[in-house]
Amino acid sequence: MEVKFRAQDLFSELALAQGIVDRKTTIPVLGHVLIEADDDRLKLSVSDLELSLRTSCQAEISAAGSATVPLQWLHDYFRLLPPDSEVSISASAGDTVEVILGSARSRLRGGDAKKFPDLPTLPQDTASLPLGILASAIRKTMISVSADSGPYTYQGGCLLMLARNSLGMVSTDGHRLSLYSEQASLAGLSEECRCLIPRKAMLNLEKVLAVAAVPDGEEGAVDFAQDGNHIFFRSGRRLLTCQKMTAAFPEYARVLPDESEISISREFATDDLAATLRRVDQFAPQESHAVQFVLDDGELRVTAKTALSGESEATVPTEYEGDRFQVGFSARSVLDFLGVCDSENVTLGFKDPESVAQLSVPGLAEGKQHRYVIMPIRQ
Amino acid sequence: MELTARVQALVAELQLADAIIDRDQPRNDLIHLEVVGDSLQFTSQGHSLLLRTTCPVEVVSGGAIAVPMRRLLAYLQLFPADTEMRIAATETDTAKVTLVRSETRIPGLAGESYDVGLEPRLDTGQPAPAEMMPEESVELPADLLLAALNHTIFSVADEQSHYTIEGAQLIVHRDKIGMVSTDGHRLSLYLRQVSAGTVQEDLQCLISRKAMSELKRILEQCEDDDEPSRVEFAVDERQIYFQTPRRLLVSQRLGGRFPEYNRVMPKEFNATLDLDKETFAPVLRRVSLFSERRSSAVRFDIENGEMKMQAQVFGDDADMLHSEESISVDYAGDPIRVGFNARYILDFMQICTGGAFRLHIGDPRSAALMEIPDKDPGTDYRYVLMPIRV
Repeated sequence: MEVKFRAQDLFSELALAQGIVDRKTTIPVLGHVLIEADDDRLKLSVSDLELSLRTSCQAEISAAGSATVPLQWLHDYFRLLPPDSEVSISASAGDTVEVILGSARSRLRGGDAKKFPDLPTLPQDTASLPLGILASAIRKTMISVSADSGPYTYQGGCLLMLARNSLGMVSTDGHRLSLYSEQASLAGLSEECRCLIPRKAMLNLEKVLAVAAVPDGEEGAVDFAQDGNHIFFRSGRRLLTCQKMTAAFPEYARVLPDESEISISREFATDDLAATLRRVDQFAPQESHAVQFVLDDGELRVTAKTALSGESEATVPTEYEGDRFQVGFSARSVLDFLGVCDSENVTLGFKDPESVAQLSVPGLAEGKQHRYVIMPIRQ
Repeated sequence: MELTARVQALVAELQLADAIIDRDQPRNDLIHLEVVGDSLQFTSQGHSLLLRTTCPVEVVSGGAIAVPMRRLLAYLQLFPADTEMRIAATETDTAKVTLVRSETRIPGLAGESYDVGLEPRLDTGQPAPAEMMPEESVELPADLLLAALNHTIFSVADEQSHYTIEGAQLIVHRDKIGMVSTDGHRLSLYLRQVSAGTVQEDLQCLISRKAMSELKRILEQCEDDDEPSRVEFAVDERQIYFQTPRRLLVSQRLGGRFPEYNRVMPKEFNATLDLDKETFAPVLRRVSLFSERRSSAVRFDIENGEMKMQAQVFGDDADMLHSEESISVDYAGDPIRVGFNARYILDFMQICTGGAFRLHIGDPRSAALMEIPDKDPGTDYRYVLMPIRV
């Protein structure tokens, strides 16, 4: 194998590949990237057996072939190269891979391409998802996907809901729930579809979408497909494949409060509320981040208290005339939503101190829905 | 105690204290606040260091309190820098902090129960920082001191270097002032000539790594504050003192004797190369990626106007990683082969801000010398580097 390419072209793909490869893997070949020179492209594949990414960069091929190279090395080395420099990689018999940049020659031990696991192939039937909407849905629901799998099997995953005219995602970690959906026509979707996407796949899909080349004035699209065991997302030349999660997602609709049940609803400036919460949170218990929201006499008072660190109180003016209303929440949970709501104002909706509260974005365009439901913390 | 001030004024002093107070005692990171005249005085201490600073405030009433420093700092940093704040000590030894629409109470300790004292204890009879200084002190130019710290701090020995002295030597001579540090593998010497009469008497003493980095921070903060650039330096049997107009740093003296650095200075060389950081550093950084992690050994072959850098890591049977690159140099003498720790050379690159530097190489077993040719007049900076076998 012998190929020549621009350093930056390969580096941007290696940076994406880094997210997939597990540094602590005990299977050596999974710490490698598979490089294949074919036609006029250098193809790259990485996998952790559950999640895989295939991508490619433009290259001049002198001799076709393939090899595997330790990803971490390749990434660290290419980070040090001037972006526009021309680099060539050659692999001969044996496992040695040589990287040549001008007068610089570097050799490192690669691996046998045949040992790299087979990756699933993209099915024929694909549906086209609008890139922007998918990216927003991921960003807005990622906050309530639990970091690791908990006692419930759905944990660590997020539900993707595709219908002919809408795209939505829901996630919950048992304490809060995020829902985002938007109207969209999904060309090529044969039937309504719901599937659970693991957290790691979401994180990497978000990165892939962030670097997708979308021409000006176009919306950009992602091809979506699934087979028995896998889900596929293709954005341009990048294909992300993940294993399906088999767990059943809870009946989330039952958790969402009905609009008619919300008795108190007030709008707040997002930045103001976030700054206030961040300050008061300094004095909240470290594990629960519990702060009290008190609506009373024309203001929202946020308070927190711990024996050791002290107490803090801050107020945000609001129009409120009714009886004193008090409820406790995790400041961190509320801040998570404020961080992704992308709106100048947010609406806090309460029913009673024992029920869930709802955070939402006022004045969303027709067909869009963004709701966040959190459980109160009892004092 | 009650006073008002701008958030940034307190944050600046708390940040200086942040590096002083040891992190291994998260629940006991108290800082002592006391109204002195129309200023607020901050006292903090950690292992072998004490810092006393002041900032001007609007005093309502006098008094003192000790509060958890990191909690107060983390809280105040969440407000815009020019926010007006009020801080008051309550009867229950709680600090009441009031800012726009916020009120916070942080439990602390009565001012008088805060125990000031390094081991061995400091004499804390006098409240004002200036009076803690020994009477005899030397005035040092702050910019010189800061430059000396920047040029020597990176080659101070740390725990891993197995070298006895974890500090640098401060050199105050009648005609020159500077610092020298070494970890046994390399040595940095920074000296600047001063006019006669600056110092009456030659003196030198060791400064610990931690005191160096704190002093550096203080001098940088003084530059930001546009404070007059002078530092009073004093030393007694147990401690050394650095006093700027508003800040006093006290450090325990380090034991040990700094080696005779003049004897280490190499004098004879086989080659002198004028190099440029822009072309040299990126190449070395890339090649060193292929070197053994512990030694960072890179081999330099210099001949026929070319400098080849080479590194390798050996695996089970043959070399597992190997890299070589070359740059052109102005050299026509006999071929030279010598090895260096690339990390040490890259450390030097950090302070080589001008770009050009000079490398003197002797025989493969004797020390090399690196210099920056266009330094300010009167400044002498030398970096001595031991070669390694390759």
